[in-house]
Amino acid sequence: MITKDLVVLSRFLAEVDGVCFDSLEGRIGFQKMVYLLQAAGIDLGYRFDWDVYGPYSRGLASNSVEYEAERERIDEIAERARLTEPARIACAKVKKAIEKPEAASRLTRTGWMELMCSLHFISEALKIDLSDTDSLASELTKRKPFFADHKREMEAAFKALREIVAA
Amino acid sequence: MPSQKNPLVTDIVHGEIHLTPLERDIIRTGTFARTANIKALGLAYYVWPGATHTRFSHSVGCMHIVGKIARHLQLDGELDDRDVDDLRLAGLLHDVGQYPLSHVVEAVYRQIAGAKSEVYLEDPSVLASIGQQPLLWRAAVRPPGIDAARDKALAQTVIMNRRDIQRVFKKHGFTQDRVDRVVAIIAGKHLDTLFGHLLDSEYDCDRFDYVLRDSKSAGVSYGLIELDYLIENMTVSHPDDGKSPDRVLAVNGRRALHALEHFLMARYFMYSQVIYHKTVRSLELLARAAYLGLVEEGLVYPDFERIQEIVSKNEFILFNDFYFLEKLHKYCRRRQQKPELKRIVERVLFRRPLHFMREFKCLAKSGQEPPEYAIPRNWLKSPDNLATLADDSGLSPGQIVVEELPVEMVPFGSEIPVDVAMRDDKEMRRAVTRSPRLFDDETQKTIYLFQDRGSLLADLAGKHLRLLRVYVNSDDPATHGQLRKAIRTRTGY
Repeated sequence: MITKDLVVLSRFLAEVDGVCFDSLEGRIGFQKMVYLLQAAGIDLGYRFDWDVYGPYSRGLASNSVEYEAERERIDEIAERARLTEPARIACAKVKKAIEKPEAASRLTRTGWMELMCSLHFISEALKIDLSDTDSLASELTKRKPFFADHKREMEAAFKALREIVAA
Repeated sequence: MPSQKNPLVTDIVHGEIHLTPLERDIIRTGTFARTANIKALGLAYYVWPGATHTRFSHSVGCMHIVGKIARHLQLDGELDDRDVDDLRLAGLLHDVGQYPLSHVVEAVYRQIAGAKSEVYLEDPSVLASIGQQPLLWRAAVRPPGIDAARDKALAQTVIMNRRDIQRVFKKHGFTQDRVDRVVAIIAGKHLDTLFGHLLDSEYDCDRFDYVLRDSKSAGVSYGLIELDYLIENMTVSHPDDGKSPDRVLAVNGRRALHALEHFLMARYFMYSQVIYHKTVRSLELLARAAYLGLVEEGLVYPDFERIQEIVSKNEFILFNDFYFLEKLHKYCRRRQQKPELKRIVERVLFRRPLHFMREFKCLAKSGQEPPEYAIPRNWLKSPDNLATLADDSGLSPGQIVVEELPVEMVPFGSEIPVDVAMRDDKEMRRAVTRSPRLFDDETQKTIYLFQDRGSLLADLAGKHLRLLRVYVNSDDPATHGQLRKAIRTRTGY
């Protein structure tokens, strides 16, 4: 059955980038997109756990199954809805952030989103300010050594994150 | 870590459990005592008379199991004494945020939390039709995946704000850093993935204890799992063929594959036979509808935020199963009653489940359900068709309730369907991190259970047992016969 939260979620996804569940990249991107929306101050009610490949919400994963099952009808209602201005601003910030910058060309789009989300999660979990880039980079590479030679990408991610969380 | 000289409690499942002085004092708090008034299986005791065990005994059991696993991993040098103590405490406290009747009332608050996202819409009236359905229909909706109102979220507030708990921490010199660490383990925010997996994965202390305890209490034999043997064969491995610094839990596949499969099957049977028993579900559906009705009447806490506000007060201790029952009793005595809600409340209190009309059942992968399931399911999903059925059988549409329940054969904790996950590429493995893993001590490689060619369950991976049930909120036997006939005629099945 259709629920209000799924309609609102659908509206947000359409506003940011749309979502494609046919590919793995689309599914992973879906999780990261919602994570970033919440980082931008939109509380959609999901809580993300730390997992092997960064922040992950099982609640969201389960909602995506519900969403897929009723997608046509949900999207139809969502099309008639319009987000408030602050919500649209948050969407615009996330949309801009997930467009992979030139500095992150060595990463896939999923990798880029994983980098941003992981840095933000670590910053929140260890209470390290986003401006303390050295500490965050060091904490990240302890857990994800493959990012160690991605200094340029990390700098770009910090910049994008600061824009997302800016009031 | 407790020694043999420490105080002990005797548990129906695990026998003698020794406690550290800190754990003993936590158990003696009013906050923890609250869990003794919350039944672990909600209203299942109406069907399984012995299933009256509570979150209290389950929490002590979780603490015991995670302590055993942690001590076993400590022998391999993976954890130290402090880790074991913190994990035990996390196991003990993981359910202090449980709602009355456990997940029955939690589902209502999650539904309310989900609806709040409409604040982001300029004109929320586009959603109006969604909230106008009959109470029982809304109660039959699977709660959204929203985590905001989950018991885990409430547990964090409880641990951080209840003075009796804080006093115990202080008395035992348990520092704020350690408290934060315990909270992070419970909340899944600890940055060492092993801790998250021990408390919340497809084979964690919570699931091990509830399979053992629920089956013992219900009096069924499914839960006779070989827990000690499984623990003895647990090890820590590193994903990506050992290259990742992350730590995850695995089971020695050569020795304990079948013990692990037995556990997964036991859990499957517990759901399909006990937790999802047709009468249990009917009563719980009524209980959810009753509670939702009470929320709408302003007779219980309106939302998660209000519950968080009362956490530090004594009234929180009273927010347990008796709170729920007391509110139902009060409603029965009220002068002003809504007829629809009154009937639902009485059904819960007088143990009068909805009448079971039909069940459609299949074991299939998502999107591959056979026609004998898919056709009636799709037909019964439409509110217009329910109105037709109601016309055919002399009922009102709100009296016919349809509920669909999926039970996963091999749970994966995955963001992607298992048939995608089963493709043997690196990308797919990223998404199934909490799925059961097998470690091969000869090759030193770790694979997922569903990749093992000797696994009985690998072939069943990705399949769900789907149960679609039709109930009716009418005691008139004539309408029952008409409704059954109408379902057969209209759906063709």
